Amino acid sequence: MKRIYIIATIIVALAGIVSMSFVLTPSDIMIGQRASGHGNGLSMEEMGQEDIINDLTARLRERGVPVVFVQMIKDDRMAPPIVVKFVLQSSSESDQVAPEDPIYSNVVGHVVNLAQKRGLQAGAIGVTILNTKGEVLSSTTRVTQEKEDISSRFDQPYELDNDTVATLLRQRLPLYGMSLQKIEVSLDDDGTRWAIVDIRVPDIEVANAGIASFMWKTRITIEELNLDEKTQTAIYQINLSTPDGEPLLKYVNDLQLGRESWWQVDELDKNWFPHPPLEE
Amino acid sequence: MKRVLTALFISVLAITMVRAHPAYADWWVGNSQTSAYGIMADISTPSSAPYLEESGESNWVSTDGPYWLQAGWRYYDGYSNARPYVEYNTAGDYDLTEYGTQSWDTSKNYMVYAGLVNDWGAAIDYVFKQGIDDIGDPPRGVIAYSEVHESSNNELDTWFEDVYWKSSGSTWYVFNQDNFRDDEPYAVQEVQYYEYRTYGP
Repeated sequence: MKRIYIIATIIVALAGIVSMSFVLTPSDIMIGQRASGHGNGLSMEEMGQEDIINDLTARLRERGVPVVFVQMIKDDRMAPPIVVKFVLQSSSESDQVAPEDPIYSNVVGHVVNLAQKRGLQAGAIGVTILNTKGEVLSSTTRVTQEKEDISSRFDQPYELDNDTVATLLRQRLPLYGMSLQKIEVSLDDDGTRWAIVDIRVPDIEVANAGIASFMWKTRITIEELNLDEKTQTAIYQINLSTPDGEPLLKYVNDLQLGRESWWQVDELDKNWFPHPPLEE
Repeated sequence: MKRVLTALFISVLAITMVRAHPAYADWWVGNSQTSAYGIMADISTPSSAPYLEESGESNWVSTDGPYWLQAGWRYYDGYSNARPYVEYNTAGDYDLTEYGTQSWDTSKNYMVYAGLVNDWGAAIDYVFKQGIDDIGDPPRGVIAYSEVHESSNNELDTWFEDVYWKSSGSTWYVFNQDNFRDDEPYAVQEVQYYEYRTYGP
């Protein structure tokens, strides 16, 4: 296992070096650098790199994210010139991610965003997901986004309690022939309001008949409730499964970061999101 | 007898056309290049918000599938503006991130490109947004399409200009292949292989 971690570290380090190759040259239309970074507050030197890594690791593990390790890499092409790289352990034994892996990746972005509000200076986030054999399933890098302060969009303290928000969602979510099993509304330890919606369908045909309309209508409903009823749901999750509990879709939408992450069975309709034609 | 056969033929044809696009459906129109190390295009928004009966539309550059990296703008029912985004799918890990807004009657550059050692990146207006491994080695088919979701009554009016593909030597060339795709009731107004308008219904 130690050897796997060492190999994974080397792979991640190499990927970090080569994945940012976009120097602007006259003959090659490439990428410039993003404008200046985020926030005020403590610098990395003041906070201590080891403390930052330990803090991020602990916060993610408290949320159930299977962190293998975290590292911070200097990269002058980023602004600020730091890439925070996360390696996560998937439960998958194959070459496909497990259903919960995209959710974990999304949570990483959320936790880093919160850390930025506390003064973390980071120009980009790297997330690598390993299967049980230590093989890389997915390796991505994204610039951190310049977003308004969370508190200015999802004001705290909240006007409504979690139960009231859950009731409103229960009343308003369109189901398109699917069955609502449960809605859970809760607050993160940082105060972020989450809604988790569990949906059941008897089979894939029923799911495919309604999933496209359900996904875009659910987003509209939650955003309208946020606007009209002050429900302030910042992040919502949708879990779609069969009566046997077999997952068909695991989805999370962080409305603060404008980021959706999901896993779905291949047979589930894909027309609710942009994608290349399947036959090409 | 002739009238009966004609009516039967028309009925079968109509049923076939309806089944070609079931209720949950997408339509794709635009052009593509069969083998490249990247793609970029200036993609405009229409002069005002298009009518949407339901769901929405996206206008993008992308690698082909089954795993892909894509950048473009999308507009859905409930949105005030078009929203630039980057999306990927690798090993069943799907992700889509929106980056601000794109005003009506404006153009942005969207780019997906291969970097070193099988890495791919996406940029909006020449600013790097996301990079990804494991979507497949270059060269790949690259696509510059409009995609309409769910309803063929959704309006489409998008210009793709300066559509380039990238060679292995990191040189960018204008699209030089006729791989135009219509998808009724949406069509392509072809000016050049690298300049065209997608529109409909």
